Amino acid sequence: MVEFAIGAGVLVSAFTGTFQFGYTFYQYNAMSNATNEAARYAAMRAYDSSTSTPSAAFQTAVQNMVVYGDPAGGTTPIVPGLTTSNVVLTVTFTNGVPAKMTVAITGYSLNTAVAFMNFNNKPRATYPYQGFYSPA
Amino acid sequence: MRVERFAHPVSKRRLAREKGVTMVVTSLVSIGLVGALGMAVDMGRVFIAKNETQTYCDSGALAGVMKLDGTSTGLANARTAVAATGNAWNLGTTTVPTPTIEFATASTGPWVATPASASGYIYVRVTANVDVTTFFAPIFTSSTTQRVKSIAVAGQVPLTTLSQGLGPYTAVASDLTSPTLGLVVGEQYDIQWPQYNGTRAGCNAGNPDKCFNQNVCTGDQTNARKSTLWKVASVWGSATNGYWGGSANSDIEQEVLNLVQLQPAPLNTSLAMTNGNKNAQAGILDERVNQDGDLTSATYDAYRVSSLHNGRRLFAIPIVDPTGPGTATVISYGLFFLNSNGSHSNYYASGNGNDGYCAIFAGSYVLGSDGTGVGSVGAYRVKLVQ
Repeated sequence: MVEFAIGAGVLVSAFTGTFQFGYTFYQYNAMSNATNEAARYAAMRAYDSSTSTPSAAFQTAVQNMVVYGDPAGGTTPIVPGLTTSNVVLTVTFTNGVPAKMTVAITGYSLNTAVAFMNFNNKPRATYPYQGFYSPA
Repeated sequence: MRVERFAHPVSKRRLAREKGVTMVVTSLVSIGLVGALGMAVDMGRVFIAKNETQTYCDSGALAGVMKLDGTSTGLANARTAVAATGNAWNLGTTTVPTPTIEFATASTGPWVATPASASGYIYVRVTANVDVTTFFAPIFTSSTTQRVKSIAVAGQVPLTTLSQGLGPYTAVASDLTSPTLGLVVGEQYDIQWPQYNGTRAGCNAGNPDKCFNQNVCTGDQTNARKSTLWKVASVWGSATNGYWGGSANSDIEQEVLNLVQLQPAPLNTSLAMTNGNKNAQAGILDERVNQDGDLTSATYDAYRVSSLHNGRRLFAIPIVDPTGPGTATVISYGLFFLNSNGSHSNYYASGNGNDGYCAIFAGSYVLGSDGTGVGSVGAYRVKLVQ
């Protein structure tokens, strides 16, 4: 019984740790794919602001793309607890026009059952802007 | 009773013999389990690294291919653009070590890092290799790292129709068999013609420039364009001046500044021309020009190497063949360089109301790019092809 208790303690710890890392990596990968897709989407969509601050419609569409995989929005986030407020879109202007779109996850805590893993400014993806600049 | 007497001593002996077995078995199983679970952790990190480097390559290939313009400067700009994308790996903490950047004229290669001539190179391949440090794999292998390789290929893919991206003007082709359709890079052409006057003295096939109240642009004054000019005068006449957009200010603004088209413009189809509103158009054309950082370059060659340019003075329009009063067939698309006359340009607005609008032919149009593409004419979208 004592031996089993010692062995079980080791195994449970190993399983728990592995689950925590595995689950975190799995969700990180999901968010990495989502930010990649959203940055690509932002890089293709017509940019309807004359400054590096995007319009509300543009920003919301990109945030929805990350959280729901659909610019129109949805009900089930790609990872538990992720909201649009966790998605930061950074538009880089060069010589007065959009040049890059960067999408990042920030302020998100992933509950792995035994601990919380915090994500700040990662995952993150940047794409060169190749859409139509539409400032009017 | 016999059984009990017999069984008791055997049980004791067995217990004594099996003492510590649980610990041994647990230890052996633990090694296997920890190894297997550790491999899962290592593999998770490898998959993340693969995702991150793939994003780096995809983004880099797209950034690079947008810079290709058939010149050696374009190749150099492509290399710079790949390196400048800013994507990192190792959970977003580490810069991707020197990627391999190669170019090709076809998506299947052959791939060349430094082409002797940039002509025809419309594909970029970016390859990134990173070594992911593994923590558990060394239990089973001698290696402490796992190499992760990602590749992306992007190219300038020709388009056969555009429903957004074209300005509401046209340029007229003069030689349907030449690679540039008779247009000469660097020459000024009418993207909107001066007021037609068929009764003006001397207006005939030999002197078609006399059929307009104002001078046509310099590129349209050459002998090579004489028959083209006559076609514009005799086929279009007063029915159109080459404009095909809306006449409301709000429409013109959307068309010129945002490149919103009121009608699609597929190749080899008829485009319905309209009258427009020249006063509004002139002001909005200048507004577009004034959104550029470079208002002083007078030639496209000077403009494309200027560190201030941002592409707003570049304007893509259909290249057409006049087919009847108020109609034209779209032959191709071309990128034109809008003129400027100063630090705050009013080049188009300062002309007379019925002047033609001139612009310099620059080459092919790549959507989203701040320069021309590799092709002589046409519209292209940059796209990942692998």
